Amino acid sequence: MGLSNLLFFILTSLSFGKSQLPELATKQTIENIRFLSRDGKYTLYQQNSGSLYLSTNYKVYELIKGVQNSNYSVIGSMARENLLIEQDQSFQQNYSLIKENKIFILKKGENRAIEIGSGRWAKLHLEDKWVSFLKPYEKTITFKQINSGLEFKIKLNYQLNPFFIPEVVMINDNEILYTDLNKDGHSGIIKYNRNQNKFTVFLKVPDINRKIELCRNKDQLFVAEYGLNHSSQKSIIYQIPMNKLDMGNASIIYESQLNDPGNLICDYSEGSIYFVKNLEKERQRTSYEVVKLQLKDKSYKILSDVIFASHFINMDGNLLLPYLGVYYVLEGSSDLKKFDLLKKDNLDSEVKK
Amino acid sequence: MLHQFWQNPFNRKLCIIIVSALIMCGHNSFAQTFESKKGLIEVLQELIEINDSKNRNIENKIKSQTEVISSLELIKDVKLNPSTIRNILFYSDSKFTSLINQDECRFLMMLETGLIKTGTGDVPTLIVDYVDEKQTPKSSIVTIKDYLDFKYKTACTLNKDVRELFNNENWKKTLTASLFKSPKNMEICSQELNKLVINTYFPYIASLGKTLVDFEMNKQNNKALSRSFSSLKIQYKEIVDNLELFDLNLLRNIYKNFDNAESFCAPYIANDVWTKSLNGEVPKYVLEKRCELISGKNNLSQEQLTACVNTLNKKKDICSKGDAKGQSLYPSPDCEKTSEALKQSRLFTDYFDCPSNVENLSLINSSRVIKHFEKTPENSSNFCSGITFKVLYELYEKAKQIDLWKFQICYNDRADNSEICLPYIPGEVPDSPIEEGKVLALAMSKVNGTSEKDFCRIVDKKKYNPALLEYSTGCLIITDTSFCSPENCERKIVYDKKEITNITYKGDLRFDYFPNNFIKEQYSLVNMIAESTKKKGKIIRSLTDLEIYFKEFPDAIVHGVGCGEDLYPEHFRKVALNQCNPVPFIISGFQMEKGEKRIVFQSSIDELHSPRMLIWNMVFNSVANFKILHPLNTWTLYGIK
Repeated sequence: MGLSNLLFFILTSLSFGKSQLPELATKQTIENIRFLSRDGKYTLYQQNSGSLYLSTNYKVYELIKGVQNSNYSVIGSMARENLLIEQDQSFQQNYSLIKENKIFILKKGENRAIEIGSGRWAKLHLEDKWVSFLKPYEKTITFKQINSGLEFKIKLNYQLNPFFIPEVVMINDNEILYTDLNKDGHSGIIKYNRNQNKFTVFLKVPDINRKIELCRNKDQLFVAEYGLNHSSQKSIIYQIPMNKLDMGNASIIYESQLNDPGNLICDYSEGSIYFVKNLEKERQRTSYEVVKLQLKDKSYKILSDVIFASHFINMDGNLLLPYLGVYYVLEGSSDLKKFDLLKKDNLDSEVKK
Repeated sequence: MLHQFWQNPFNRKLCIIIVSALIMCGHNSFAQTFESKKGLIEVLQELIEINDSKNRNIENKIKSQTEVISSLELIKDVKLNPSTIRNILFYSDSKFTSLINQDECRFLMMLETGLIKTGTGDVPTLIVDYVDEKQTPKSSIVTIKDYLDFKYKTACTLNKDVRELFNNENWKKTLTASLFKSPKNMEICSQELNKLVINTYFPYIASLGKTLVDFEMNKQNNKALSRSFSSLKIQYKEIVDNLELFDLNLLRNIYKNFDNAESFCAPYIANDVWTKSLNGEVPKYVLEKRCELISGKNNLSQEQLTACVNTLNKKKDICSKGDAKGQSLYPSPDCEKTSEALKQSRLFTDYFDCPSNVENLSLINSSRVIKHFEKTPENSSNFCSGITFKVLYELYEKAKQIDLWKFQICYNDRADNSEICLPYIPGEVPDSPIEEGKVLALAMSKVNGTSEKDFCRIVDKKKYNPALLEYSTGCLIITDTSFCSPENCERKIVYDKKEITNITYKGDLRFDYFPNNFIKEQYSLVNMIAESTKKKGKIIRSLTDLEIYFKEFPDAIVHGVGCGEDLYPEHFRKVALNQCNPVPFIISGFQMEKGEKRIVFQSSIDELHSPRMLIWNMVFNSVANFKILHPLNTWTLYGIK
């Protein structure tokens, strides 16, 4: 072990679990909060009663009612037009990855959430004009246009993994890229043309031990391929211009001989992408951190310092690292308590209203 | 057979000796054969024929003698006839004849234990030469027993003692004291083997292995009807009933490979769990279940299991396919990683379950915890969620909470126009009176007038074809057997090809794993398990806690609930604040990997026999992130012993 590695080991051992990153500061306890806008003007939070509330401009609105201990997930996008809300009414009683949750949409400026269907893993597309979600028992992806009744479904083929979650990117109103597993368990990207009702294989991964992530940032598509098992160690990220959408036009922007956890975010800032990287080679021990990869020179910068980072989220323009029940700010504003967020007394009285 | 015989270098040497001996006998026909320069196989074939012919001549000659000796008592000395020696060399396994090594006592013991043979017949006899009272040289056929009794009067008295030590009363004790435990490296293994081979008891020990191998081979070759098979079966049963799997495999291995240290030691120095399971160091079901997963067949023979071990060690990706039916998280770890984890896993897994068919993962985990302490194996079934629900039903029975059982099959009672609901256990549970197929048949009889004795079979919708005879009559439940939970299931009931619509299923998959409130605390699965099994729980807050707990209690396991996204970041991505999909899991061991501690981890979405190895921090992080969302702020990681 080199001196630098030894030093790193001693330092990390001493500060195990402690990060030097700023903690996300909020006025109310973080466990109840489900969404914080970048400017701090909008807060969505839940209470044990089972309801979800919107707090904005010193007012509180009950967005969704639910049974006791209901749990909510609020999903936004960089378009910042709409928010998707998944309501799990049996969160503490049915630990299921395949049950369907109710899905609601909260449009910008509104204080009323509208139910749009039931499923899992909802996602916004094309400047928040479309929403997609998975129905695990049907094995379909449902697409809904938010301001119209337009709806269509794609039937998936996966058989071997009941907990499979497809990656979905809408190219335009008629074309979709999504991931699926074939009957042998190989991952692939399928391109679907709705007008022609035509499916074409965009990429097929010949190894069952690999997964694919898709991420779109305006005119660029990023395709990441990671190994899932010890026997298939390798990570690759491709970049493809949206106007030349073909793997033949893909350029490799990152490669590693280890399996990265990934969880790619490509639309947080121009000119860089973010993912969780396996740093075992550099640190000579198991180590995962969030890194920022500069597209210009392909160099990367380590953003986190917790050794075992697994996820980070883009919360309306703040990059947050959840770790041991604490949210650390990787990039963006860390002190959101100076904005909005009503005092509890006011909040309760508003709820009563 | 001749080909195999010739491939053994010892046999080749032996053949040359016999050929030379026969040349010296001046046998004309042989000389002619030898001169004709035939192939060696043909030469050997002819040698056997010559030998048989000579034996027949001698036997006929002896049988034609008017003087037949009834006892060897009055004879001073008896020698084996050269034809007997030749027979021994012909009919015995060369690896045993090579052991004789001019030690008459060992030779006699090997003759006594059947390791060396004088012919192919069932009755063990010898041709002996002796000199009668008139000093006339004569030959006679005697039983081996008579011959040995005669010899033991004057020599090798120790053999008689050893015979006593291996009689019906003493053999197990003697054997247990003589066998060794699993050697850890080649050097120790070779030394142990050498010590064993020169041990006085060796012929008896090897003969026990011979009984096992002979019986299994005869059974496999359908020779079960032969006369000697029934006595072999009795001996076999006596051995199998009295020894552990490791010792049984050791006996087989001694008999087959004592002359080849490399082959003999291979299973003991092998580091994979499959070989260890095959030779009994870890439970046999570990290998059997894995082989069942990859072959789709159960009750595999020892030979098939050996072939399976080779496959598992050569094609490491074959384990990644998990259950191959789409009932658990895919892919599973490869065979190498699975093997490493299984070596340290203490969880009882002699059955199959299927996470996707149960949906609520806390039921899968509860059932696995209960099964670990019950340790009752279960046969495979077509619709394996039944095992989980059966265990759960029994838990409710023990807790006297059957009224709270949530799965029912309902019909409308025409007499008073009320809905009648009968409790049932979802899936295939043949030993239960409230198995789904039986309860549905009962409901059918009440509402449709069919026979109460009918049984409704669960049929996979992919296999169902009404045109086939097997599906044309009776009651069928047609469903996707890989993806059907009691709450979410596309099922069709068919009776004599007609769809039945007047019977409904009711189910509610909501259960508290850890208590979610103080009022209903006693109804949480964790509390019901603790109450029914009388097992105590201990909160585990650190890796040190875990290590101490496991060291202190060899059968203890640790179970808990954490956010699936933190346990499997490569499968489930976080996109929202406080996003968490709770996944219950069991920690069944820990081990060092590349100088770092790893947790042996069996989560409720993983195939039961495919544990993973995780870093403690991932598990800790997942529990910490779930804790802040829990209504009682509970730390959901507990040891149970």
